[in-house]
Amino acid sequence: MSSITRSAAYRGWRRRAQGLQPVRGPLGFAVTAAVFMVALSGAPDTTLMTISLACVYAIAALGLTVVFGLAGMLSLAQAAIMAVGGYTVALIALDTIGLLPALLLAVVAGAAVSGLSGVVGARTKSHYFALATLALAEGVRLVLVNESSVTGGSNGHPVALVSLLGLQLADPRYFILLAVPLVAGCAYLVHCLRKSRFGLSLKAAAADEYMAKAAGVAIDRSRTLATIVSGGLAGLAGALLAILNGYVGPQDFGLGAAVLLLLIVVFGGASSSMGTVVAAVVLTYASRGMLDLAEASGLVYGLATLLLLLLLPGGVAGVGKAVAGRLGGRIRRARTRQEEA
Amino acid sequence: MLEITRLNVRFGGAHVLRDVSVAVTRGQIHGLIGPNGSGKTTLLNAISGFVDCTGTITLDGRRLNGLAAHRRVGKGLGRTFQNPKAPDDMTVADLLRLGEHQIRTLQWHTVAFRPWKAAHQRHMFAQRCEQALTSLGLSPDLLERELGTIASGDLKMIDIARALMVRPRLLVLDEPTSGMNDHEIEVLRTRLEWLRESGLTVLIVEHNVRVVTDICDRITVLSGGGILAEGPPREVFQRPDVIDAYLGEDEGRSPESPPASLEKTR
Repeated sequence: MSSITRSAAYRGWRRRAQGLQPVRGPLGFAVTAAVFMVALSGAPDTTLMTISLACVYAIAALGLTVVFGLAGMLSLAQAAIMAVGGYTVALIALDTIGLLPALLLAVVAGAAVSGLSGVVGARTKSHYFALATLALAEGVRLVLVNESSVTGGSNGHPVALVSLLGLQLADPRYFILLAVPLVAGCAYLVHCLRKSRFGLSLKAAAADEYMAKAAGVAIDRSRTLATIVSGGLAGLAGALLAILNGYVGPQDFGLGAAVLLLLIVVFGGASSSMGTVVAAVVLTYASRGMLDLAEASGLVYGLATLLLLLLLPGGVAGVGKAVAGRLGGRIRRARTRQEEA
Repeated sequence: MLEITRLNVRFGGAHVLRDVSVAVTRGQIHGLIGPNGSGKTTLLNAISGFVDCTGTITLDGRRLNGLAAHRRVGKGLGRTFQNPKAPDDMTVADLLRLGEHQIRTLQWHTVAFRPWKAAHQRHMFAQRCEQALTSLGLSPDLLERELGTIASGDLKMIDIARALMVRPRLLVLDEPTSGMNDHEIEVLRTRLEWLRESGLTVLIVEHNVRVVTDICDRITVLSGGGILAEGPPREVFQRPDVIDAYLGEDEGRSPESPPASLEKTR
C-alpha cells in the first residue's frame, strides 16, 4: 500500500472493512431476508402468493443477470429452462426422494440444458445467440406439448405435495419460509460472482472480446460456465414454481415469462443483485395487478414498461447508485472541509 | 525471440499479408511501420491469435500457431490495443486482475484450508498491481477509479500496465502514442527504455517517426502486405523506396502527426 498517497484514516478504515469482508456480505443478505420474512408474517394470502411468485421469478432473473447482465448475451430460453426444472420435480417421485435431492436434481437438469445453449453461445455473436436460445425454448415447448404420455401435453402434469418440517409448501405462507432465504442465498451467490474474476472476465469480454483474450481470459469457457450457472438457478426457480402451484404446464413457461424475466433484469439494472430482486417484486406485482384489467392489461403493462425504461435507464440499481453517489459526495466534501479547517 | 516465417493471411479473396518473415531479437525494441492498410495490425492480430494464418510463429522456440489467444498469453505474450475498450464501471484494479490466473493459480484448497496463504497471495498481487502502475508513472490511487472516469492517455498507459501484469517476455504495442500528449509520450519512451534494460522485448507499431527513430533498435517497414525494408531506423528512413511508400505520399503532411484518417480501428 502506498503510504504517501493515502491518509492513515483512510487506510485504517479500509483495513477494518476488509477484515469484515467474509462476514459482511452474507450478513447483509441474511438480515434483509429475515426482516422481509417478519414483515410478511401478517400479510393477506393474495400478497403472500404474489411475493411467492416474485421469489420464483427473482431466482430465475438472478440467473439471467449472469448471462444477460454480465456477459451481455441475450437469452430467451430462461423460462424454458425453468420448465426443465419444473418438469424434473413433477416427473420424479418427489415424495420418495425428498425435497432437497429433488431441488438439486432440478438445478442439475437446468444447468445441463442451459449448458447446451452455452456451447453454442460461446461460439456465436450476440444476436445469433439470442436466436439459438429462441430455438432452444421452442424445442423445449414442442417436447412438453407433444410428448403427452410423459409430460401430460398441454394439460400439464400434477406435482406431488411436499412439506418441509411438517409445513405444506404449496401454501404460500410456508412457501416463503423456504423461498425468501433461497432468494437471499442466490442473490449473494450472484453478488459474489459479479465481484469475482469470473464475473469481471464476462464483463470485459462483453465490452471487448479481443481485449479480454489478450488479457488471458478464456472467454469461451467463461461464457459456457455463465450459461450453466444461469441454468442452475432457472432450474431451481422452475422447481419452486412447480411445488408452489402443485402443477406444471407449458403455458407457465412461454415467451411471456421469458420476456418478463428479461424485463426484470433490465429494470433491476445489471450492476446489483438487490436491484434485480426489487424489480422482480415490483414487476410481479404489476403483472398480477393487471389481471383485473383483463383485455387492457397488455396495453397498460407495455406502456408502463416503456415508461420505466425511459425514466429509469439504469434500473433500480441505477437509482440506488445515484443516491449513494450523492450521499458519498456530500460526505467526502464534508470530510475535506474538516481536514482543511 | 519472436520468429515469424512465411506468414500469409487471407480475408476471403484479399491477400492481406504475403510471405512475411520477421525476427525480433531478445532485449530489443522492434518497430513495425508502414502506410495505412499495409497489414501492421493484421500481423499483430496473427501473432495474438485473433486471425487465421499460415506460416509459423514461434516465441522462444515454442510454436504459437494453433494455440487459442488466451493460451498465447500464458506463453509470455503481452498485447495492448490502439483503442482499448473496457466497461466504464470497471475499476482499474479489476482490469489488472483479469489475467491473474495466468501468473498465479490460487487453488480452491488453498482458499479453504490455508486462508492465510491465500490472503498473502492476494496481498502480493495487489502490490504487483500498484507496481505495474507506478512503473509507468501512474499514481497507485488510480486503482480504485472507474475506467469511465479516466483520461484517454492514462487509459492507454493502464492498458500497457494490464499487458505487463501477466509477466510477458514479449510486449506487443499497437500504436501506444496515439491519443497521448507530448508529456505522456516522453514518459512512455523512458519507461520503454527501462523495460528494455530489464530484459523485456518489445514489438511496437507506431506512426510517430520521432518516437520510432529514438527508441527502436530495428524496424521493419510493411507495404501492401509485404516487407519493404528492414534494419536500424536511421538507415531505413534514408531509403528512397521507404520515403516514397511511407513518408512522401503526401508532402503537405508532417509525418509526426498523421491525420485522423490514418487512425484506423482494428
